[in-house]
Amino acid sequence: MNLLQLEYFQEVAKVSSITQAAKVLDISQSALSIMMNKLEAEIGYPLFEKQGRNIVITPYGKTVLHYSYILLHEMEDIQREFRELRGEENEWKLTLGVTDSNYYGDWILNLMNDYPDLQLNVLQMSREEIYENLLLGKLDFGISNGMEYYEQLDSQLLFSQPYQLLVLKDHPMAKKGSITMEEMVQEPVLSLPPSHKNRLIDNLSAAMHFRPNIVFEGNADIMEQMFHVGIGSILTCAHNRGQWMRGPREDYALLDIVGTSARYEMYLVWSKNRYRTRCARMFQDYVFDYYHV
Amino acid sequence: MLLSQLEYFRVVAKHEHISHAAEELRIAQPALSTTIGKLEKELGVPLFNRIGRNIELNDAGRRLLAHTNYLFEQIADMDAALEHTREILENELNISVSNSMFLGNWLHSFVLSNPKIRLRQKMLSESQMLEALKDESIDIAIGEFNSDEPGIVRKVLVEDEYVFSVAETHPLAGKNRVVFDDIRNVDIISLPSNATYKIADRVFAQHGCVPKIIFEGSHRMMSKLELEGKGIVFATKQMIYMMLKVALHQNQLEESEIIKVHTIADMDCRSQLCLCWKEGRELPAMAKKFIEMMDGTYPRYNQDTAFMEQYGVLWNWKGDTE
Repeated sequence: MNLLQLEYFQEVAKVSSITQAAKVLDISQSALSIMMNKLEAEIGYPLFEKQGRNIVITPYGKTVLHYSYILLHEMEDIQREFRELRGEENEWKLTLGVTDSNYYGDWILNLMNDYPDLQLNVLQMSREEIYENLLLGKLDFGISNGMEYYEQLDSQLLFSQPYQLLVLKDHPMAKKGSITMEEMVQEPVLSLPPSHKNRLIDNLSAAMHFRPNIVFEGNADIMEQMFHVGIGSILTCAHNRGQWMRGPREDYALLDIVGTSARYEMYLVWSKNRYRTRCARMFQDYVFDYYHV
Repeated sequence: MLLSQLEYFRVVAKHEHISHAAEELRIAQPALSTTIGKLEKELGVPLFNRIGRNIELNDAGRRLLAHTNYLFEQIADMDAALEHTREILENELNISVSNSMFLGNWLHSFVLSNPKIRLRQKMLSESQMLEALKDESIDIAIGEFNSDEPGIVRKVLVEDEYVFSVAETHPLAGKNRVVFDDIRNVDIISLPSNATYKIADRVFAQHGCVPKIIFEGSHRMMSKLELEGKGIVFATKQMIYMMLKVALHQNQLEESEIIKVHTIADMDCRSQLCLCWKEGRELPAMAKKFIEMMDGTYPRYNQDTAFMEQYGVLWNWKGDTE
């Protein structure tokens, strides 16, 4: 097994066709075929199956594909670490997976200003996808609401705050400053669409076993517009409320949700096995500094 | 950088001694020195401190060793995962049976003799079964497939025909020769099988009437009803045979009780119990084993004369009297 084989194998698996993959990789089809046959022979299991004119990856192929990412990223890690050992610089480039794409915190803007050479690639995904991609080496960091234990992952809680309901100041409950779970069931709320993974409203309703009265589901811009004309309120927490506000804080009220201990928790997550470049260490320090952790 | 280079590096790092490492790797010492030299050149830093004739892993070397160990751990994990996948795939068997009775007293012994099996039975009609075989969502189908289907291998397990069986107390039991007119208006008990319905409908339609099926359901209920003289059972010999075997096994049938089985003299409805799979497909190992076992140890009515004698079941069909 060599690493070039694995790289080519990834491409073949991606497009499910030797012909297509050969085009992308710019090598001859027969050379690629021979290479894949050799890889199969070395691994000792069939990696692809012919199905009509196409090829389909086998369960064995899927296993090899999974590990190919780990192995290739580990090789890349060796190069990164030795580049720094030689006193050279790695690319200032980080790939982040975030559960809440609407939440960046001010620090991301500050970070980009402080490090103009930094290339940030921010991808929205579910918690599970963050874990998976960190383990495969496809992400440098994850910023995740909630964290499960994984042996190969490390994490740091950035903040933990109770869920709160953001309302306009003329909302009937604004003066009271709180809302009960019974009232929460009736309260019209706005939310991101269900396709958005790890929605706050789902987290809270799962924790409290209630069915929320969602009057609108859609993207953040429209949510914000609807919110300001009083169509519904928005579940958030103190840290994140800023993204929904247009005017000064006095125009809004944050209601405590009585009777729930569910909290909004944000974690920075990374793989224990990956080499952290100077850029990654800077990023980590920057985030920790910002959150005073 | 090649995995083989890293493999050599790992052994050198373990021994901190080129010739000992070369010995373990069974390669020439100069070749090994060259490999390590190349690796150091490629990485741009020395991995070992040379002290006289000895070598010693340095900080960079220790860093590379950590990566290398992790890489080979992952490769070992991949091999284990592949082996695990193989075990699962080889032990997976997806079957569909038109009537669970056909596997009645047999399937559990197959499962017992293959403790790692992952058996899944899908409930499908015969036509769905053929589709499922073709798209490989099942490996094997068992049922009454009486005609060839393109792309499907059909292995006949039992050459069979539809007959009637009645309890000894039933008026028809005493007759030596039964013709269709004798059963035209008799209440029929049937297995819940699409193939049986179709055949019953066809046979009765030929005589310008419809079958009067008063009960279709579990074999347990069927044998009970039959014994109480509530009707006659319309089924293949194999079905009756399996039904009786199950009934005996579950102590529902006294050894002294007698079931009489009749063919209808003026009726000919043959049926074949078949084992089917997709033509040209390399079947999973467990499926092959299953076919082999079916072929070898599957109980067939026409091979079990001892059963009839032991339980006093009187078989009165064409073949016996000839």
